[in-house]
Amino acid sequence: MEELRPFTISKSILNEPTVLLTEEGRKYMLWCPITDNVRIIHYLRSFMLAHFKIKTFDTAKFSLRGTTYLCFETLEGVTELDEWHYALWENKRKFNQFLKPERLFQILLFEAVFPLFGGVNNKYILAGKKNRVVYHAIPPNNYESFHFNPISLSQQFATSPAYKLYFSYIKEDLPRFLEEFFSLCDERFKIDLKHQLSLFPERRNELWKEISPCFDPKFKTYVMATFNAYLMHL
Amino acid sequence: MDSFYAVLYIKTNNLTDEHLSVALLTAGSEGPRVYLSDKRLKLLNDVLHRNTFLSIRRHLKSFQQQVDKYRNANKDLLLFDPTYSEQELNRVSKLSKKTIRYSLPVSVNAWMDEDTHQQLIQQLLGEKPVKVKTVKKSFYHRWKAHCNGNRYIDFRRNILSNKVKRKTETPVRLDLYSKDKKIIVKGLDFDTSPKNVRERLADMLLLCDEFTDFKFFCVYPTPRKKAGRLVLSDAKERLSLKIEFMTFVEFDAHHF
Repeated sequence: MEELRPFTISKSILNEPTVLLTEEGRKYMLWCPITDNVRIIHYLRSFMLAHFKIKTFDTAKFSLRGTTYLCFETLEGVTELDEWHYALWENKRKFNQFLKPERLFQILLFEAVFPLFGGVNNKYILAGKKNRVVYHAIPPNNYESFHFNPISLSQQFATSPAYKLYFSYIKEDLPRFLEEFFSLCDERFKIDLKHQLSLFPERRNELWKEISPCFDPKFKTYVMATFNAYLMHL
Repeated sequence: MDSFYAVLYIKTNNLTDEHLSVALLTAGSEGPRVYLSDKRLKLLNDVLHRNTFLSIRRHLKSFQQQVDKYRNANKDLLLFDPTYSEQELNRVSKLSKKTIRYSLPVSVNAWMDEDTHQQLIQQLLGEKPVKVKTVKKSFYHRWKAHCNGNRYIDFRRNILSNKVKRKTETPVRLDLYSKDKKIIVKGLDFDTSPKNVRERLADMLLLCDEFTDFKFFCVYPTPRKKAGRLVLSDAKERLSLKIEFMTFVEFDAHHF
């Protein structure tokens, strides 16, 4: 993680530091102090996300009065992706405003195959000439726990009509992305991940116990089957 | 269902935590309505990056369109909760913490109709929405578009009479002309000024005298003014032997 050099730090009403402006003019939000738990889980998560090429906001660290904070970049024009914003893709012409719309599908797959970070996380629409889908940089449980806990498609809101409409525009391509994702999630990735874990010798056994079920062939085929069934009903 | 309103804010900058209210959503007793303030959006245009602004505006406009569509759709028996209810807005306001922010719904002790909506706009955004007058397209615009359609592909369109017949002295523009079918068509709006109508009728008479073996049609929209109706009936009496008068609808149904 990059160490930030602040230009100014703004404070909230509670007089706690919130947003930080770096010398390069980038804004970062201070999220939480980095503990050992946060450090390891964040490292693993960003390693996994980088492997699947899923975009998140940039994260960095910053130390203030002895405590090191985890920060993530805040960009201009970010809105939550929700069923409520159904109007953004109600027809094909509007849907074409999304750059690489399959990113959302990849994010859903990542959540389903690696349900380690406490369930469903926020997805964002990044405004620009074309809208982009971005995954939240911080897991929903704030690094509090690390447990294997499978989630269903309905928990991910994928079965709602709005999401179904979103995916129906690219339903011809989705099986290809599904295949690509599972080919990336192979033995080699498992070995890589194991190697990364070995960098933290005191906690590796405990963490590996949670990660290994994700690579269980039975679980993988189960997730693949649910997604295949989902694609058939689009 | 209770009436309520919610304000839509745009958070321009994370450092200053500044919110600009740009839109107002009212719903409840009468269908949801969204008002987008153009003046405030213009302000945003100066503050935000161009692409970001366009994207946010697209976002808001499509939301407004969706709400309008929902309001104007024929509603069947309401079995499920309406989309724009107070509970739903409660959920959305908790969810939205980024650039576009929905305020918590505030209940209004009134029947939420158009007037209350306007009143709230004035109170909350300080604006008086101007009703846009729909400009009615003149007959000649519609008539030209009609003539240029694929339907009259065999005809020569919008052509001067001296190009068709060499000897003519005063060239008059013909809207549709066909040598094979022996047809000339011209459009005329009787609601325009009497002088204009008189001149155009005189032109047509000249044409009738020159193209003697042609069938001559004059297409007109049903006149709305009394003067127009009088001129039309007068012209019909005098010229019906030479010119065949037809309304636009009749002409549309006519097949050559």
